[in-house]
Amino acid sequence: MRPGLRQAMADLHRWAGLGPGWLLFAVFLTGSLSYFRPEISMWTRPEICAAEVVDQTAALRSAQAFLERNAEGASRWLIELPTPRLPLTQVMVWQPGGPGPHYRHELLDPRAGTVVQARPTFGGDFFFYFHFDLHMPWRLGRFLVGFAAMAMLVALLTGIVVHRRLFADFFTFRPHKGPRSWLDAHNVFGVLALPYHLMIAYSGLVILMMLYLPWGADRLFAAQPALFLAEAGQSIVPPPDPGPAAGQSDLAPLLTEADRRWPGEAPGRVDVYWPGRAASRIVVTLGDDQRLTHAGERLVFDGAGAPLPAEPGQVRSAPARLERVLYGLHLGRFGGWPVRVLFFFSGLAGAAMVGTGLILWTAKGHAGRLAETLNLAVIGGLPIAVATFFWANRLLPTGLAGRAILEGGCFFAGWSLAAVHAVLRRDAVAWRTQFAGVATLFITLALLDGVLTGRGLSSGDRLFAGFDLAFLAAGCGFALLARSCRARRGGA
Amino acid sequence: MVSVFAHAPGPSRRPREDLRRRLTAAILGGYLLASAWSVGIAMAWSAAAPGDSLRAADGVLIGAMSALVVCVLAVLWSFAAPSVRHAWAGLFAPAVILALLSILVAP
Repeated sequence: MRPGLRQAMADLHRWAGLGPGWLLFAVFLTGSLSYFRPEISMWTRPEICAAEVVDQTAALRSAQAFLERNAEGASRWLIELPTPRLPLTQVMVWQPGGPGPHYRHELLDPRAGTVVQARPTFGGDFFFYFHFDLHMPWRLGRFLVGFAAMAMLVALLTGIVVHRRLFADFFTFRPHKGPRSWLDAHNVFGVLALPYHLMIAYSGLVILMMLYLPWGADRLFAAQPALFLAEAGQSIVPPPDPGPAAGQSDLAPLLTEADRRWPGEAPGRVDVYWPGRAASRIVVTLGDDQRLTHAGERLVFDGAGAPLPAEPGQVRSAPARLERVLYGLHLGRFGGWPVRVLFFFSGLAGAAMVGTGLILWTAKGHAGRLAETLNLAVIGGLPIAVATFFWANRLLPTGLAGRAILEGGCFFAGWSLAAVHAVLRRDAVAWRTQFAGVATLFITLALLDGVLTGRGLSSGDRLFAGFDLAFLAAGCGFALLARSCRARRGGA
Repeated sequence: MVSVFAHAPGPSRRPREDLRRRLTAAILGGYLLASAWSVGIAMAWSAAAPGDSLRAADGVLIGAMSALVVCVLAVLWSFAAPSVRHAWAGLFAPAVILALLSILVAP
């Protein structure tokens, strides 16, 4: 390879990695947490003690009864059935218009079909939506994350070209050598999970590709955008006219048909378009737990429960299946705990790869003051924000108005405080202070959670014990980082 | 010291203006080419069986999924090309050809 090309790729690697690097760090960290979205949702609602999974048919029956009482006139019901990871029924309701809210989301007790009495919180959904939406308006966050994902793909490929001794460097680590140590760490974290990094960046782009590149669908499906989604196997075409009232048929027997079609596998959700109307459509979708494809199998029924096998909405072609497989790969729900844990640590390796790359750049003295401040504000500040979110979940009064939004506000307030601190001080002491702050927040949370909820390590509750241990591990890890900052300062 | 960092990104040897122009070509030209590619492939794929909505949807999916790869390659090209002029030519010419193709095969 000519030297000029390698230098060109080095330039590109630097700008593709540095430009959106801080954003990528945030996406990797919160995306990794999202692999435990249902578990976080349960942990953030300690009032719920749902240890056993209720039969799905009973859960569907109770959810239907709830919706018939509370969601009359809706244009769509979506019922997410309970799973071992989230043993609650989730119902979502869309109203066609009028003065009330157009969308409602409730968590139901799967036995009684009543709204669960728990503190209002976004739970794991907060991190899940943040990692691709950044909680920004007008889909701005999705465009920014898409740009960052594309830059990451470029940075990964150019990184392979630039680091010509990729695998030799993987086994090289020279501690306490300044920039060399950061370079070694950057190489290790990059190579360690390189296939995962490539997969997660590309599949993330594929999930949102119709937002970034809608032009083909615009040309070919301008008159019927819903038909494209149906032919691509992503949804059905909801009937435009609901027709007259006809009474909603019993949904539970449809699970028997699903069981016959998918023996040994559990349905994940039931959609009802125009419930209780003559043109109603019912869609039963297979769960993601055992298959690589996300929502890759559907059964469509009319309002009376008669199957409609020819209705568009099935995954019927190789390209549609490939898109669904990439979606499923990104979510990582298919392989149980081993895959989830592997993906979680691979995601953290991605955050570490980005973080060490950013620090390497400043350690070599090429970056300005802004980059140094951003490094501290994001790499030290985001873990503070995450810990603040968990603390806010425990400390905010349960009856507080707008409590769920305030929890999110605490996340951003914690991050902002860390950013202000980073602006005021950018030296090793500031890094040590922020890492020590994260360590204190996580360790005290692990120790006090049992006191606050009565479900700590000693209670024998596996979920809460797992979280406490994870908080302890995170706290100890950050304490070691703080200690290493002190050692370096002493050495200096 | 030099040998240690020879394979790591170092300070740019390119003039800042050249770098800025290549970044512009990579972002704007890359997106332009990826967009043209996604439409061109979708139209060409669906043209084989006009009126078949399943085939049209397949064309859209294939076009968009491959356009993401094309976009990455376009960005790489923007920095690998001998000059900024070459970079723009390598991005703009195929984009125009693909746009013409999508017009020619439009149903």
